[in-house]
Amino acid sequence: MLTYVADNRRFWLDPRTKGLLLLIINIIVFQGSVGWNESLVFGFMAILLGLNGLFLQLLGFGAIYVVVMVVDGVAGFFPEMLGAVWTVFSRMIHVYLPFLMMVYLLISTTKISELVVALESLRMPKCVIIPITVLFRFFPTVREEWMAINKAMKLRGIGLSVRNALTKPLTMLEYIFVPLLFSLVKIGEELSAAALTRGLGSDVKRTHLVEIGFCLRDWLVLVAATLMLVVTVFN
Amino acid sequence: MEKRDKLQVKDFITVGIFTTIYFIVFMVIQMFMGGIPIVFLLMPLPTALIGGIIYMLYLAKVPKRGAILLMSTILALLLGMMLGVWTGFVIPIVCGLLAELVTGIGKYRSFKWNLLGYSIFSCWMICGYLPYWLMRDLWFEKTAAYYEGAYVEALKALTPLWVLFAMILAIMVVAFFGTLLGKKILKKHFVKAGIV
Repeated sequence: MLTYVADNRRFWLDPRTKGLLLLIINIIVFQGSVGWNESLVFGFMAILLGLNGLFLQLLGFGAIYVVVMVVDGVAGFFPEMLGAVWTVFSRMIHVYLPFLMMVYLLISTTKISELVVALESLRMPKCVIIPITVLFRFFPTVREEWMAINKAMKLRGIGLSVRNALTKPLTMLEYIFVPLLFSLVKIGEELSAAALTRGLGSDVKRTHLVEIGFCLRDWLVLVAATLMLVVTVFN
Repeated sequence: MEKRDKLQVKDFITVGIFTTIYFIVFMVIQMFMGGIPIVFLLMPLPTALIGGIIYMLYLAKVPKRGAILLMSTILALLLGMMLGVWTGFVIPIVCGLLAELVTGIGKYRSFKWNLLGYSIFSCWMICGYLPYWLMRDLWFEKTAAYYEGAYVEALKALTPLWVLFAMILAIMVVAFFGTLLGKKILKKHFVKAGIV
């Protein structure tokens, strides 16, 4: 049998593990933190990013973390009201940082075919799998299209700026969303044609080249995450 | 029911596309408005307005039974994962189901029922705020442990029970205008270009 071998050099995780991790991290974030344990979650995510070879991103997230810590530290020197808003803002970023890291990890290290297999193994119906797959595939596309539209708008002097957004919000909405929806609908139509050609529409059970499965790494990561959850809940 | 009226693979892809755009709009607004105590209660409103354009085009592209419910199911999966609280899984599906039933009365093509349906659908955005009321003590205890006391007091003062109903009402009213905007833009651009 021809099978696609997952990249073993990096710390490859099963998509299901990553999904579960995302949920666990969010429950920890929702539970609220007591200072040290969110540094723990941040450290955990930092290690995961590092093991996956995403050093540049790790550096970026680390920089944000340091900046937020410094901002939090100097908040005490501001007048009361401003200081409070300042603190809340910085802590909010602080709390959500591990979540953003997890989302980044999930999106950047999961191939779409792996995601499909994982969802199928979870016995999701087709009507859920296909939209989720499209969603995954479309996040970068929407960004690209939006950048192109923004460029074109700037060229014609109607770029998205604070002034334009405040003086004529409805016109701006129209200028952004009409071309965006036009091009995305078009891309979507092409995508459906391609997918149907490849037999997505048939009722036969699909086969796939990519293999996924839990291994020691997944269990280690999940046990660590569960421990963090338990520590947070019973703190 | 004829086969033509059922959701097909092609429609699933359309659901994916429109859910993506809708979700991105929601997230971008969330990011800009999330940090500030008073403003953050108003977060659903711009989404409800802009969402009207996306939703109306979506309904025009897929006027079939189950389309709205499916969109809200995908949203529920995303939101539930994102919020880490059960309301994220439940509320969007409930709103989607109600919207589906209401819109179904007009066979997905009547503007009046679509309008009402979108107003109901938009209420899913309440799911992120519901913990303030449903788990009030627990929530504020957790928040107080982390944020400064002044913030928690401000938040508590800002969220008596009537605020919940006011938010739902405000979402529905803005969604009403969102639908009108969506209809206008649909007529002006998309119908002319033959997209719908």
